[in-house]
Amino acid sequence: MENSLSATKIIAKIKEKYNSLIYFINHKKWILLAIFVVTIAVLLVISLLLQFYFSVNRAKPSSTPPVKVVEFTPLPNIIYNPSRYASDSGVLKIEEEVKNLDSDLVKLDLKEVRINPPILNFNVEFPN
Amino acid sequence: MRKFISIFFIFISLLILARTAFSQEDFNFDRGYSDYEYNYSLYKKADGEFQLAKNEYLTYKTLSSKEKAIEATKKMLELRDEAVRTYITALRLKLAQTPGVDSNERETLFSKIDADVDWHKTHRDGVGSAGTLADLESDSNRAKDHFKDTELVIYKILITILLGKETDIRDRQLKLVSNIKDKVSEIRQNGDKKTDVAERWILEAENRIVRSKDKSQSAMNQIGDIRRSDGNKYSSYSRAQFALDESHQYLKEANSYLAEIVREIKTEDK
Repeated sequence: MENSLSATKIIAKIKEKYNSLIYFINHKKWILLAIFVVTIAVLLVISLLLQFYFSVNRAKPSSTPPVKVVEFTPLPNIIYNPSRYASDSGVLKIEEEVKNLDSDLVKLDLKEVRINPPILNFNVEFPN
Repeated sequence: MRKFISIFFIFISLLILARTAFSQEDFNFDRGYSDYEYNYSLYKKADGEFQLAKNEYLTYKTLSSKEKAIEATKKMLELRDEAVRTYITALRLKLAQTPGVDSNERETLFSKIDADVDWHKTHRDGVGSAGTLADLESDSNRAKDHFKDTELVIYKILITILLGKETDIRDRQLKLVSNIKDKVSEIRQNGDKKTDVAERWILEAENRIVRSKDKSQSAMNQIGDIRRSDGNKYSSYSRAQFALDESHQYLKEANSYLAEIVREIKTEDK
């Protein structure tokens, strides 16, 4: 009985506080509260955008140091006597894929020096 | 007004949830590797302090120098375990994001990594209970012995990562060869251009790709030959990398042949 009475009192108090909050907001000071609330919302949105921006940039595949490659300007690939397939869309697509694969073959890092095992000291001896 | 407050609180909750979701995606290889670098630097510092404390104790043999040596050794051993744990965790993350790795192979290596991480965690946690230099020496020797197994896992992972990258690019090249074969077949059927030169280049390119696969297998075999008792496992790994370089060279040659095929197709017959 006593417990239900105190629970009722607590609920009544919460309702009172909520109503007084509404009363407070409905009067002049609601402007300040609105500014505070909007500021929090804006800060949260900014932090979310920053986090998204940095996660996208971090996700870019540059986890290994770039391989230093001497690049020569390639000779222009001039076809002096073009066949009817020189401008064929399928052939041009294949040509583009061959070029892209060539570039990727050069750039591929097969050393991955960064992930070599650490050098550790296992010499822990205390001679008597 | 009550409706506005309710909507506002729901909006804030959604924003917080979204922020949490983004944070969870952030633990990738770069983060894992930074974690390892940090722990490794702490270990190197602790190792330096351990050497000083050890030398001081061996020189003076006082009680206070002994106490200092015990504390410095404990700290170094714990940080050494942590450096190894974070290193193999970083390797796990690298393996997870590497293309071209067989999924069964990946899962097998994940199990081995997880077991090794647990071992080092348990060992690290147990170091604190050592009371004497003899205990710490024994703890260190257990880690030293276990590391021979850890090294086998490490080199297996490293070569799997490199082979995965090579396999991925070789698969792309095979797909390209298939596309070229289809195109050459179409041209042959059209009957308006000779294709025998192109077909010979295709055979040469395929031959190079087969040799590349053989060299990749040779690289894997080098790692498979490493024994627990080998004193210099890194030299076997270097030989595996050399085989992989040769494999890669074959792929580059194959690609140059593909470029020749394209040139041949685009040029009028003489």
